[in-house]
Amino acid sequence: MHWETRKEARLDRALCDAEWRVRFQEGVVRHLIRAGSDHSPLLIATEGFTQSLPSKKPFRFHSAWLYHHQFENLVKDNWDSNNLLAQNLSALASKLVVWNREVFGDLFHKKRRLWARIEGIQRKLETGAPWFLLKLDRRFRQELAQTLDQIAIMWLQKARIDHLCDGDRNTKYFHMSTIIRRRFNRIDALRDREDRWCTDAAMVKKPCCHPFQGALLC
Amino acid sequence: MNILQEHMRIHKPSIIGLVETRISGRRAQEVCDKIGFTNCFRVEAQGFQEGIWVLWNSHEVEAEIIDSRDQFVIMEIIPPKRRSWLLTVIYASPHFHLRDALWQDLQRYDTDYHKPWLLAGDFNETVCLEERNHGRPEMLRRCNRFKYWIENNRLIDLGFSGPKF
Repeated sequence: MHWETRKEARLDRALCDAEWRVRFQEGVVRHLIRAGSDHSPLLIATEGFTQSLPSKKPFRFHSAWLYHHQFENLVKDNWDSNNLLAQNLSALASKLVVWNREVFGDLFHKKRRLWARIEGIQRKLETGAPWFLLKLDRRFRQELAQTLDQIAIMWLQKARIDHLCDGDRNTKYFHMSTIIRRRFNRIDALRDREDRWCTDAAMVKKPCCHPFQGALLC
Repeated sequence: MNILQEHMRIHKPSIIGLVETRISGRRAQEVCDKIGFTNCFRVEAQGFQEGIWVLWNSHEVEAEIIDSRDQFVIMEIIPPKRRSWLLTVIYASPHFHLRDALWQDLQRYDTDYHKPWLLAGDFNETVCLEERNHGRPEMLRRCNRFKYWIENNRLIDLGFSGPKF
């Protein structure tokens, strides 16, 4: 509110570019209480306000799994057609959580490892090309291409986007959409009936405890 | 002043940007000293044009002023061992034509520096009528212009939490 006391508008804000958003993924703004001046002070915390408490993530199916050669058999082996669909699904889900951790692995880690191996092999190839190295090089490059595809699919899914152009592995856009949505979904503060703001992480986590029950989420 | 000190006591910021400052010269320096930060940079208030102050603590953050105009101060924040980034403190003029010149100035910086960029302050503009409690139809055109500028510069709103106005 600036010109007249009864006219109010949000004229104070913070904008950033894509690079800043990626660098400070937890970066957040809070408009503080106004007094003495007609501006709301902006408080910008580049690393976020609350230590995010570890939360139990619900099971999510990753489309990238579909491209793993073991996946089809894993489903077949863990599917009992005598059981109900719901039973099958929940049994499969718990198997997949373990399989994802132990077999499918961390895609980014895999990408880095393959990359390093290929670099090593290609350096060796400069001084001669024994057939087994050539074969290994080809195999790793195929694996890398597959991993890059899986990463693209993973970001695509996280970004909740339904289309992917053929051969488009540029994940920057998907990465950005994910960061922005993640921030948007996060609740940093709650306001109770008496208009007080609560920013305490533990309290925000438990919105059903009494002072905030039925209060507005912001 | 008391409120500012209270905010500082609670949140312990490393950098403070103050806009719409009306005092200048020795009195301004006295106030800066009272705030107690090691470094202070001021665009002084002149006539009806109000000032912009940026204060920071050099033992908490290394910063360098790159440039300043009536409506903004642009500084480089240099964290130890990491890539530096730009912080622009904005105090956009209430006059339409001056504000328009500001948008154009800032656009140039975007192309000159290739660093992560954060802009914060009083933009004196809203992006939609919901951000005002007095939406007049002609405001919509202004909002759209501002929104277009944000999109054109590929900027992202950091959003808000706290009181709406």
